[in-house]
Amino acid sequence: MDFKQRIFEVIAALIIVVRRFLLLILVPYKTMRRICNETDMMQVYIIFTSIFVYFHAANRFREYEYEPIILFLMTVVHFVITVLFFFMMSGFLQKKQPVEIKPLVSTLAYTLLPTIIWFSTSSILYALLPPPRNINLLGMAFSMLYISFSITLLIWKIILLYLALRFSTQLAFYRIIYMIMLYLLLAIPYSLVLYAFDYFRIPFI
Amino acid sequence: MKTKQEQIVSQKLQDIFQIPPNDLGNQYITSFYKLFTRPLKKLPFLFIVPLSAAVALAGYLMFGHLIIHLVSLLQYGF
Repeated sequence: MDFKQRIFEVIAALIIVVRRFLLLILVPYKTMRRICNETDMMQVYIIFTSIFVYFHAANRFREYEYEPIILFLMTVVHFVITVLFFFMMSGFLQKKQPVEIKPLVSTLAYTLLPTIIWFSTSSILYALLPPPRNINLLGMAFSMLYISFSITLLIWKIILLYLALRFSTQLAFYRIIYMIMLYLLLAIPYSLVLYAFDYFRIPFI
Repeated sequence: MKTKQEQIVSQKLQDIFQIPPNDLGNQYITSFYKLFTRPLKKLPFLFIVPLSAAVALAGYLMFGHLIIHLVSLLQYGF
């Protein structure tokens, strides 16, 4: 009975995650506000399970230098550090009321959606149209499409990150921008270290 | 005992007052911020996709074939 209950919980959470993924495309503001009020951690587990599956699938397209499980564990560590960073920073900046960690975990987990989509699409395109690209008309057209697609996902990611921090920390615009800038100030050199050691060419954050 | 309509109104009010409105310190900047962010709350891709295409085109016009090298680099990036 307990096992059956658990299975239903997983299926329900999976349906909610898929639904919210779609709603984050259509109505990101309203959806992120709803996610912020969630306390169901099963959805976070499902998002991370999809990342785990992604690393294993991508390893078939192009073999990684390291085992996919190591890359997955590093992604989990990066996520935990990111959550703790924003939690501590917002605790320092938010004096009016205490910041809770659960909404921060839920909302930041959903900001991984554009990352998952970008990495999955890049992996599939790597298999279908392997680089390097050519300077002919088709190559140029593909390059323009790919760049547009990447910029679109990047802007969407920034919007989701801003909304996640806005709803979970209740901080104002400038303070959120300070936090993100400080985060990037630490994340960019760290990404270069990861690149130098062949862990990630583009960090999965 | 609240009726369903009261519950909906109560929920809407909670949503509205969940976070304080943004004040950017200057009336014009705050108005611009609100004007800019309003379309992004609903169907943001209607604005993001043309903007991205314009940025990609501008990038090509400015940097030319370097864009192709960037795409090759990004394709190895996963």
